[in-house]
Amino acid sequence: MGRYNQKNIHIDPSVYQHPADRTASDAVRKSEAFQKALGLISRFGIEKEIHGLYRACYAQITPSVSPAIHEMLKEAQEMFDVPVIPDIFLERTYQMRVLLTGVERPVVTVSSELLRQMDEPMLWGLMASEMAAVKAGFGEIKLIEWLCSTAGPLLPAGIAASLKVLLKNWHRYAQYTYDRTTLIAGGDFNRAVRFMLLGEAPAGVLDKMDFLDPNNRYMKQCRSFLSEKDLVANTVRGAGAVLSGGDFYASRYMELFRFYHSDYQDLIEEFE
Amino acid sequence: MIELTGLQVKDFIHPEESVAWNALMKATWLKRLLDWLGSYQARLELKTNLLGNTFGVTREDMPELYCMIREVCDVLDYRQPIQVYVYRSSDLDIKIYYGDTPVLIYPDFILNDYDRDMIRFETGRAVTMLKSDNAQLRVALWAAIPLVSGIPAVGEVAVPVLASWLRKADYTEDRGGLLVCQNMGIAAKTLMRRCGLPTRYIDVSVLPAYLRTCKAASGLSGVSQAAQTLYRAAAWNNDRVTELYKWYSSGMYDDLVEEFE
Repeated sequence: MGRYNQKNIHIDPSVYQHPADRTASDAVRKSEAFQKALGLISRFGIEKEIHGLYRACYAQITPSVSPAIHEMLKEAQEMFDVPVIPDIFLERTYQMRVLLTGVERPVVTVSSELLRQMDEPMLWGLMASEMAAVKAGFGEIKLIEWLCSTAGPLLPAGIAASLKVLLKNWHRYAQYTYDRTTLIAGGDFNRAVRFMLLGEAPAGVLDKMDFLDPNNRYMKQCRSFLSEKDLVANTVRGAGAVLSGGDFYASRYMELFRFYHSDYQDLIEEFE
Repeated sequence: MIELTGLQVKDFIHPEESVAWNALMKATWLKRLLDWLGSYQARLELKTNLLGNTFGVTREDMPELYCMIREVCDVLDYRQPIQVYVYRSSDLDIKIYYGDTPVLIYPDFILNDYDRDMIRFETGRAVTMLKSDNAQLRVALWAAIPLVSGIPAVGEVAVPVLASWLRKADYTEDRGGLLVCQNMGIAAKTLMRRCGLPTRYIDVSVLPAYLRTCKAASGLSGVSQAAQTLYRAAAWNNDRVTELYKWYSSGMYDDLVEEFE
């Protein structure tokens, strides 16, 4: 499986958090609107309400429902030194997504499609990266993100609007951090990229690719995309990424490739 | 599978698409604008999205799919080499991109959920789109609708006109799909899947009953017809089955196959 938990290591967020993610999350946290939104959450007990909502809507994956998943969570808890294991819920949808919310009692919802398509090593990568996200404090920002998206118009004037771009920007760069932790947890670059591209290409095709080969054809596709000189295209692309809060797979792959060949190697050395 | 040598889309274009198309093309300035927008949009799509978010698959990756596309192109007498990209989506339409090389972009849902015959029908529809004289303009229309809809007063008039053309084009593409799979049952099955019925529940034995319900649904009230004409960019699935079956049972399908065999 390529897990490092046997070595009883504890990885600090400063090792895996992408610098752009750190800058973006600092910007979110420093904003006045964020602090006000946090105040509302605490005042109205919203975190508890969300928990109740999930319990009512989704199937909870308790230790007795899936001991294997909880075993993974425990291992990841130790690996990333997380104080509390989140509750895991299953959401039935075709989209492949995971949602982490909460601070005091973090909750992770996993889409049924994601669970259906992942093999055990991928599931481990997913659980571990969510635990790393809990440790890095993503649950707090995602809680505010959830609040703004579901109850934005009901919030005091200006909160949702002023947080919108900041949150989208953070969301975009947080993906880089997630990709890094998936790699760290699994210890296999090809698997981490296959996880990133899961569903984007037929599984048989991804299995055959060597994503570490700098001349692989997906790398060529990504390079060609990222080296575009057209000003209009770059503006449209940049605006799209900011407004959607997502980044291109091409960017994520190239970022992870860079990480693998730099900081990740130091990390491996340290573990060994 | 019967290959149809020399077949052109104009040989099986739905008459309503011809009418809509002719009306649209009477405005020369509009045609020029759409021509420009179509080629610009195609280039922009490639640079801003396609290469960054989809996965290019080769003949070696998916030999069966490429082989099927080749067969479809042979049947429809389309000779250009095609590139394939795949992306994660529950969409049911294969997108086309018309740049230097024609590109088909498959949502993974179709590849995972549809059987071989159904994929062939959808591929036939997509290749019909590529083969039609106005493939680039179709891309332009899809690009134009959100742009035009934002212009006060103009949007209210122009969007229904543009959407109406796209809707009629669905009928022609369905005919292309049928010519490729050469089985009305498969065409109806694929359109039933579009209505949401899981593939495992779709059996040939239920098709006559489905066709009956589709025919019943075609007797729409004036209000519903107006709503469909004005506000929908895609034709209703059941309406499409009825239209296709009408063409199939009229003998025009057989005549066409005989003529180009």
